[in-house]
Amino acid sequence: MTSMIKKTKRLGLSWDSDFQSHLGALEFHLKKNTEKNRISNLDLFMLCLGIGFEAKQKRPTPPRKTDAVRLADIKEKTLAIWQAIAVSDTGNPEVLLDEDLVFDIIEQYAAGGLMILSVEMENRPDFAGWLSGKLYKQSEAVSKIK
Amino acid sequence: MKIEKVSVRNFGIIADIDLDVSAKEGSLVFLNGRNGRGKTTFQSALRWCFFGDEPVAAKFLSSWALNNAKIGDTLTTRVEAEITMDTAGTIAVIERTQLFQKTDSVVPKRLGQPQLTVKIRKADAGSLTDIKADPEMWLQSFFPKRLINFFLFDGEMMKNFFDLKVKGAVENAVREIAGVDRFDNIAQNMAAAETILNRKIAKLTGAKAEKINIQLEAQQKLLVEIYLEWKTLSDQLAVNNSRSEEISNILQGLEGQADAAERLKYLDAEEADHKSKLTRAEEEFQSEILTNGTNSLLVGAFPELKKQVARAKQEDWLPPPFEPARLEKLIEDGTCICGTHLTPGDHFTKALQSLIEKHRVSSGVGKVLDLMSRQIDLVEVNLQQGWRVIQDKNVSIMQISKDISRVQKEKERLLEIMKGSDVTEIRLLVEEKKNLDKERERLVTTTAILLGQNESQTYKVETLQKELAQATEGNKEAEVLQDEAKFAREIAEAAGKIHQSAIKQVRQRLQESFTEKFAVIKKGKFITEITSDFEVKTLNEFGHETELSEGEKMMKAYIFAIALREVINLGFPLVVDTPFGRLDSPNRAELAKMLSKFLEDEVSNSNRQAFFLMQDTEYTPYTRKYFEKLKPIEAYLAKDDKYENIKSDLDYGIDPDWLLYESWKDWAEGKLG
Repeated sequence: MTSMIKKTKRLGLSWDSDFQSHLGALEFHLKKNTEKNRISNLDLFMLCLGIGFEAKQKRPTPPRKTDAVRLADIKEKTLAIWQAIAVSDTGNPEVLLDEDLVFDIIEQYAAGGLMILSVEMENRPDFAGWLSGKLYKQSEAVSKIK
Repeated sequence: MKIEKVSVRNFGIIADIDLDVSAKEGSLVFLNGRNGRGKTTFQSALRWCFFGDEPVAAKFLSSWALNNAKIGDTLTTRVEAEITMDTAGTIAVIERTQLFQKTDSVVPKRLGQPQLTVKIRKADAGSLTDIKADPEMWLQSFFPKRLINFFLFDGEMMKNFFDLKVKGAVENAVREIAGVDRFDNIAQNMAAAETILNRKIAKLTGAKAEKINIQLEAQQKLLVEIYLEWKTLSDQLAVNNSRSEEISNILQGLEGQADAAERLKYLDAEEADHKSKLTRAEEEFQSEILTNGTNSLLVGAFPELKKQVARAKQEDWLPPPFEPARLEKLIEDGTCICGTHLTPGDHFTKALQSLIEKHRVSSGVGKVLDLMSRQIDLVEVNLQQGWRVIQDKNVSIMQISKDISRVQKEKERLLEIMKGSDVTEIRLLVEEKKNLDKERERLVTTTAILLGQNESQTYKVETLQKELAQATEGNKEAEVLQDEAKFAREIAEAAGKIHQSAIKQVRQRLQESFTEKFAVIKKGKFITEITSDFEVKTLNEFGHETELSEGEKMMKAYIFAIALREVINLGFPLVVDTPFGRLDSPNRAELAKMLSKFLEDEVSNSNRQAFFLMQDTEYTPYTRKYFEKLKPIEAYLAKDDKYENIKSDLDYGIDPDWLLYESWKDWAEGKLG
């Protein structure tokens, strides 16, 4: 029996080229504040996705490249989160049957998040402090939900 | 290099002296004198003559000269030194003068700027030739200002030289020897060339490139400003730290305050340790927030997922898996489990096929939902665990902060105890230390912020450089210039790297020379290390820093000065005020022996010279005996009977006044062996 799920032919996901130039600065802020020596592309992508999804801010699907994250490196847990976002976005679990649909949705939110972060970096003198505060509050709120 | 003659006119308490050692044998000069007779003034006069450093106004123009002048009279302060520059016998005469005019006010009027003249005469030439072009530059090439601390010593400071004052002095010396200024000039010139080329490139390639270039120049300017501000504050911080440490050491040495001071020093170390832990804990806290917070931003997706999972359960999409093959077998067999006969294409078969298809889809979705929900459950557990870690880190940060606060309170308490002392000096020092500690907090924070801004700014500049390169792509003329600009940038960077390498080499050479010389005074395998921030450490064979006695510490400073002369190959004289500082008799005797040994090499085997400026308790018959082999030239600054408080005169030998008192009297009367 063949699988019902339409597999993607893509090797990786893409950044939104309109705001991609801000990624270096974002990486710099994250490195500066944490003890991490290296911030991976996946770390950056997940942060952008989180910010975009939380704000319900999407941008058009970026042209397909493989400059964001390599799909071969994605773990089941991360994929499950992405799929949950796609289900939440469409309200229809059948979106899970087409991997490209899931990835498009993810890219749209990540692009939205990158746009938000880019604007914040430009306008907030204490961007790192603002971001850290936001992530802390979010963690706290989630812990209370449970 | 030897100072043959020094003539000082109207400079502080020295109204008119001529020291001439040119006809005398020996290269060690003892210029003795009681307190207040002008030993330090003599050193100060040399400092002004060679380096242009003026004394405070009250110690500049001689009071004696001023008292003897009439209103409107012009007075000249003048210091002249005649030096033999090399073994070939080249003579240089350096003269610096400043004109003053006596007015009806207490303060004389300064007339114009100080004037420097330098005249030289080759050994075989008859007359002196004036160096008119740039005497300051000539002087600087032989007496670099950054080496001033190794030419004109203050013995009072020697004991703690390497603990307190020397970091800046060693750094200056190493930078001077490594010729860092030259590399800095190259780097600056190349950076300027790059700016000009970038302007040309931008002009050639249109408005967008020009706009980027304007931004680039502005950002580069900002980067330089941030760097300079950071450098200034870092220097201030280094001075602050040195002074704070100096005060701690002084307080430690004061009788009755030793325990409190010792505890204070320990608390300083404890505070530094807590602060380093705090930085680490804060970084770990931020890392955990980044991971946990990012995933927390996504939990909004989970309720819908849970809703769909609940629906799937209700509608039986979830495993045990739906098996379409078994249903298809019923169609193949032509009989349903309910007994209905199935014929291909009939109503029942079609209904069953439609049911199979519908369930195939929902089963596929169900399987994914099943896997997802298990993973999401794990994510949720991780989120809870992550939050606990964040809280733990938070508690840890609070605890460390409390520790820091406790240590700071304890420090304040100790400082208060010490402040209660009757001794004004202690009170002032304690007050100063408190202010320094407060100021240090501010400086540390500000420098850290500036360092962050510097990195961020560097990133912006690099990004703009890339953008400019992209914007000028395709324009051949611009691309040629782009290559030139890149070349200029590379040279600037290379100059920076050479500068680092030169500094490293000089440090290495100093270390080697120092280690070799230090072995003479301290037995054992000791290595001297000059760290990257110019601390001079003495390490034992196990690589641990070694405790040195007071005498050894002073000797270490002398050896460094001597090693420096060897490395730089400039033999300017060593002029030391109070060379034995506050050392007690045994240490003084030990130091005199060691110095005598070194100076034997320094002055006898080379064309070099040392001046020791001493008072009677330093220069005793015993000290004299240690240096006997070197045949020192003895001279003294003595009070002028007529103007004893404002004028000193110079003579050779031992001050007759000394012979009336203490050990010199015994020596004169033959009571000492």
